[in-house]
Amino acid sequence: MKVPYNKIHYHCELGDALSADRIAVRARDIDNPRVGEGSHRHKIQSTTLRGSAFCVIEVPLRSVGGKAT
Amino acid sequence: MKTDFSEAIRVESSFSASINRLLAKHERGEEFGLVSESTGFPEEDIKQKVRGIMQAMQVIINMPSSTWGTVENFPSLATENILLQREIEQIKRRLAELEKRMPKEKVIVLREISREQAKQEIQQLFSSGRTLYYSVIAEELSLDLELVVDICQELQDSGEVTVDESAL
Repeated sequence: MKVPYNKIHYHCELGDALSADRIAVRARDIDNPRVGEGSHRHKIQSTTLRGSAFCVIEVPLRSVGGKAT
Repeated sequence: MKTDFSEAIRVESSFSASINRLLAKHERGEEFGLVSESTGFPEEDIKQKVRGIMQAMQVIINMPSSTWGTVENFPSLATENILLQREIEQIKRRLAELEKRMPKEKVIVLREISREQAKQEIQQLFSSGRTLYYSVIAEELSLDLELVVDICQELQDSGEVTVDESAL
């Protein structure tokens, strides 16, 4: 798997998007989640991060030589 | 089924009258069956207690007729009471559900430590052999997410940690 994070992977332009199963976020302020109905009647939630927002696609990492759980 | 309180009212009235008679006798200086010295109760105590009972009786007797009129409505009031109790139970359940759904805020004070120290702590965390996500590391060590991602990238580049394919 390609390592997804590097300085060159920073997306700071307006309109840049991230799409993944698991994204970690951090911001000064996070709006209350808005609950809606997604495709196939799946519940989908959305929110907005405001101020110093940082998002990254999560990667499961383990120590080399260490046993994976 | 209707409750008949008329009998109870009659009983209360006769009881009240008998107490009145006893008090009247006592005030005239007559004994009313209780010999104050031999019973061990001071006379004043007995009088006070009887007055208390009398006051309670008066409260009952002086209840407005509208209150006794509602006796007829007791079955409907009981039904209403049951319905209200059910409603309260439903509200309690809904409140509990809403409380469960409410996002629980967890305050984490981010530590301001040097990059080297943060790196050492992350290495130590990985030494447990667990598979860790950026967010988990940031939460457990109270570190800024961006710093964690940066250090993890460094550790990946140096070959100390790797992506756990089994967890993908």
